[in-house]
Amino acid sequence: MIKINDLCFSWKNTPVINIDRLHIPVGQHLFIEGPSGSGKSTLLNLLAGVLAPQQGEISVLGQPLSELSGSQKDSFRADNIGFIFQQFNLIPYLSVIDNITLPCSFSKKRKTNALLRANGGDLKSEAIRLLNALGLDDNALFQRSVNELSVGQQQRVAAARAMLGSPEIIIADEPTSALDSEHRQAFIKTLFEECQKENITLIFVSHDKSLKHHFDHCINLQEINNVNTKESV
Amino acid sequence: MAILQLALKSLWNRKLTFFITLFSIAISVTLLLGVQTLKNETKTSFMKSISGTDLIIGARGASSQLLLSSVFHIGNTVNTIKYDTYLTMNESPAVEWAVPISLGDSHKGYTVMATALNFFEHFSYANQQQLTTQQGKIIDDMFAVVIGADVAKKLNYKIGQRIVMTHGGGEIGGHDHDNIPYFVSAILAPSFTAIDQTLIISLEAMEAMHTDNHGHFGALPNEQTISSEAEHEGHEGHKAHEDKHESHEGHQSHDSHDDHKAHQDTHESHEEHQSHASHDDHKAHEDTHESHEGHQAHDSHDDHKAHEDTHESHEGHLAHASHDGHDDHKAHEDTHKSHEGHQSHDNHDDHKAHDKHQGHEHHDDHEAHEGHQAHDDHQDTAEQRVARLFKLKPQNINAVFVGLTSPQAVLGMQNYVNNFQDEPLTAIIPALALQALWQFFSVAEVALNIVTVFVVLVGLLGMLSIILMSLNERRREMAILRSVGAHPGHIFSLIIGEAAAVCFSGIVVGVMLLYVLLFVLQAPLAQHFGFYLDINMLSSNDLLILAVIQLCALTIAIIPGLLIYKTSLSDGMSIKF
Ligand SMILES: Nc1ncnc2c1ncn2[C@@H]1O[C@H](COP(=O)(O)OP(=O)(O)OP(=O)(O)O)[C@@H](O)[C@H]1O
Ligand SMILES: [Mg+2]
Repeated sequence: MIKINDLCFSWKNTPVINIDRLHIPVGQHLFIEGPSGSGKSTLLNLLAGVLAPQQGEISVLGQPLSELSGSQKDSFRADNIGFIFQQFNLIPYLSVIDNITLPCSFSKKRKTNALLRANGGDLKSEAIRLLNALGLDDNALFQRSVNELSVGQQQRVAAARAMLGSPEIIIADEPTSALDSEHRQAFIKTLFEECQKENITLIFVSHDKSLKHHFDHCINLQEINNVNTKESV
Repeated sequence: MAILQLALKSLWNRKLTFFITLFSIAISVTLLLGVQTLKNETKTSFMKSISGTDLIIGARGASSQLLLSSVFHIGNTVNTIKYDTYLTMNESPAVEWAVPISLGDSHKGYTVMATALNFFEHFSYANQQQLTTQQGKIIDDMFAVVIGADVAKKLNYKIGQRIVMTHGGGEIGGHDHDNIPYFVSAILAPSFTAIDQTLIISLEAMEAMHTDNHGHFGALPNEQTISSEAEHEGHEGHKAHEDKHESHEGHQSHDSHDDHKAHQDTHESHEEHQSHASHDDHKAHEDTHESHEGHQAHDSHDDHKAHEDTHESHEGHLAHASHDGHDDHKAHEDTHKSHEGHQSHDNHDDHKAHDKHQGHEHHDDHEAHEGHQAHDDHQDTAEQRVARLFKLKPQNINAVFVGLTSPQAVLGMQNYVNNFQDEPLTAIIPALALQALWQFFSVAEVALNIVTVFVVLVGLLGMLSIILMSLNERRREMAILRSVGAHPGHIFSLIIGEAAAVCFSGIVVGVMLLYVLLFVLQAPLAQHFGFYLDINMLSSNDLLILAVIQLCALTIAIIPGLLIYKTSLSDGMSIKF
């Protein structure tokens, strides 16, 4: 459950976000669209507690973020939120498996969840299970350097990382923009399946209106944002 | 996965820059510690140059000059003191021993030091170590020379080899004392002091070279120097002789030896020869021989019943043929051998009363003597024979090394010497003078320290710039870490940890490199520079320096650490390029 009330955020005195009210119920698959520069990424950073709003209240899973200290917000994020970026999601010097299990270094909760889900296996077997579920079943691939993976494969590894240890929320910031339409559909499909299974709230940002119909809820940031960012584009 | 493991993997991902930074720090650490080591070792070996000597007495002047000249054989040795002063000092009740030192000659660039035989007994260096020989024996012979280890090695001298000294510091034009050759009696073991580059001779020999006539005393009354053009006709028909004349083609002729029982020498000149020594009957027990040209020789013949003969010497020692008349000499059993271009060696079996030596033809070219090194018995030149008889004591010496009966006497003795009535003197306490002299080098020491500190600083700044440059390409890495829950503090410590790892491994490699260098350089340094490098564990001072370097690295890394801390806070998780 995410609640946003009277949120105001400015980058160095330039207002970017001004949202009166936005409620996202648990398990909802939310699609956020909006033109470039409208503040979508900024909003996701606010939800994740990486940026703090100048005004207003954000509460995630019943926890007002403003009540948390900086490092508490980081731990909260590690425990509850999985992230997928547009591209370059992976740390180049870590193996595929290490990239996926990375959140477990920062969150005990996700580690415990992941081990529970592994049914007595270790983190690696859980990572491989997720990769298989996302359509990556070539075990030889896991030994390779992440730089040798294709962009589509990289995005699926990133998705596996976001899903490992069943966070409450997965935030995806244009995760499909680097994929061709065929891979895009497959990626969305597997992401949806996993989120449905674990009852994960999915917040998905994209320019691609063709993906809209997969989601049960859809908002245009420009419509709910009181700051008119059109002029600045 | 621990943040440390991440840091190490991240570092390994940037191996090339990592190793370059590591080695730049390692080299600067090696340089810094190497300079420290060299500095300490130089100081130690400097301080070890002399020990066990309580005072060094010399002419009045700067104590550093006296120390430099007497111990290190550096600088000119113009100032002298009277030999009598040495004798006076030696008699002083506070003085246990005193060794006179005289310098000023050289041999192929090496210092020639004249001293008394007790030098070897009393001189010590380092921790009361005495000089030891590695070959030969230190013998009490006026023309024996004891040579330092380096001299022997560089000039490839062997025991028994004949050498001549050069007046002055060996500069061009220095006069060769070639009429008084020395033979190498002993080679000293390396002491890593100035002695290694020194030839040690007797004071008497030094004085003999420095008489007005440069030791060209001439021949003894019954000896002649010999011409290479000499002919031997004169020997023919000496039927009464039982001489064995082994003359070789184109050789000099021989000295003839008289029957000294009669205490008479009769020298007859042969007409064929240009210059002669003619010796008349010694009935009057005094002959005065006119000199032909040039030098005069003063010989005293002990067995001539205290009669002195004065013989002329022969011009330039060249081209003389001196043939004694053998006719009058009965019962001779002389063996005359003369070798081409060489001295001749005579065995005078029946010269019982003679303590004199056989005559040599003296040649300017001493290289020609080399063929005769094998002779165990040193064959003196005529001049040497004379010099031996004179037993000249020097007028002046350069310094006196003094050992006192009790250490408490040092200051009193120093005071006594400094206020000596007969001539102005300076007495220095070697340990204190060495300390004082080392202070001269302290400026260089400070300069060296500053340079090495800057080298280390440059190494660390190199590390800083490489970390700073890596930050930009690592922003994505940082954003990903932030997205999975890393604190900005994690990111900060990632940078600090990286700097610490680079610097620490740099220090470790640097120290290893230092020891490798020390072990590799130890032998060549001792061999070629006479500098013995003692390899020790790192001193507490060294460890402190290393700790400071490590701390500096951490401090410097705060700069990129804070930068990335700030950007990871403001950029958030957005990955921008
Ligand atoms: N770190 C920052 N410092 C200052 N201004 C920023 C920063 N990041 C974003 N902005 C500004 O905030 C506004 C919104 O940016 P944001 O990245 O949220 O847009 P977006 O909707 O994600 O665009 P896109 O679809 O292109 O990703 C832009 O006008 C941008 O200039
Ligand atoms: Mg964006």
